[in-house]
Amino acid sequence: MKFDSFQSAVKAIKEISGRLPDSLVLDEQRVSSLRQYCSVFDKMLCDFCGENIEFAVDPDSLELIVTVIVENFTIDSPRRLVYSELLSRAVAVSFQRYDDDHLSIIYEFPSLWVLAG
Amino acid sequence: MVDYSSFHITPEEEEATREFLKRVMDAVDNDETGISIVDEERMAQFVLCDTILRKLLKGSAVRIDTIPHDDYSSVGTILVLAKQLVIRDPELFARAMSMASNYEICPRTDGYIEFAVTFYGMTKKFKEDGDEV
Repeated sequence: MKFDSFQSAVKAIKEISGRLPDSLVLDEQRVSSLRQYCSVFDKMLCDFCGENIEFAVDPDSLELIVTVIVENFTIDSPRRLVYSELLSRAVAVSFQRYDDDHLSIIYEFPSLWVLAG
Repeated sequence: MVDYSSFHITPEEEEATREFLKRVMDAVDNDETGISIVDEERMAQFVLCDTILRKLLKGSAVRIDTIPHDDYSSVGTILVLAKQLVIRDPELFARAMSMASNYEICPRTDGYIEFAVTFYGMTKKFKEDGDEV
């Protein structure tokens, strides 16, 4: 499932929760923690001439996948801290060419669901 | 000096990094113009960053070029060419990049992406009277 904003993704994620086994519960703290990085993603779109950002939930791992399309990705001293924090929250990040002028950056974040109890 | 133990590299990788640093420093000493000297601690950070990147990008990078020091230049560069860069330890990547001055990733028209890591301050000047800084 794909969404164009974290807010709509969260809404759908909560709906997904109702269809999962009772052994899995939504970790509100993780949702809240990721929400604060929405502003970072929005800033990425501004700083790096970004065009698009997309949120998705992997149906198998339930990981949150965030894909950002930008023209370039330049990290200098003022930006380093906030992007380092973002990177440290991810389980993986990949960079690949989207087209002649754009990069695709894919962040994989841990599942928002945890085992109950 | 650089704390290798905090970067989760194996003893073998640490030994290889130290040996690479020694070779670089020996080569620079033999090629010294007398105008500036290499900042050994900065060079150690550069070499460690290179080691970590080669470990993280093994299997995804097509080519990694390491340019520690040019004559009359205080800039060191690590250049990576790849179709796709996949980083499975983003935290270690972020910590390695924290040692660099900046880094940039951009698309190329030949289907690859280019990743450039830049280190400023690789050299320091002698004082005007000829003493080391």
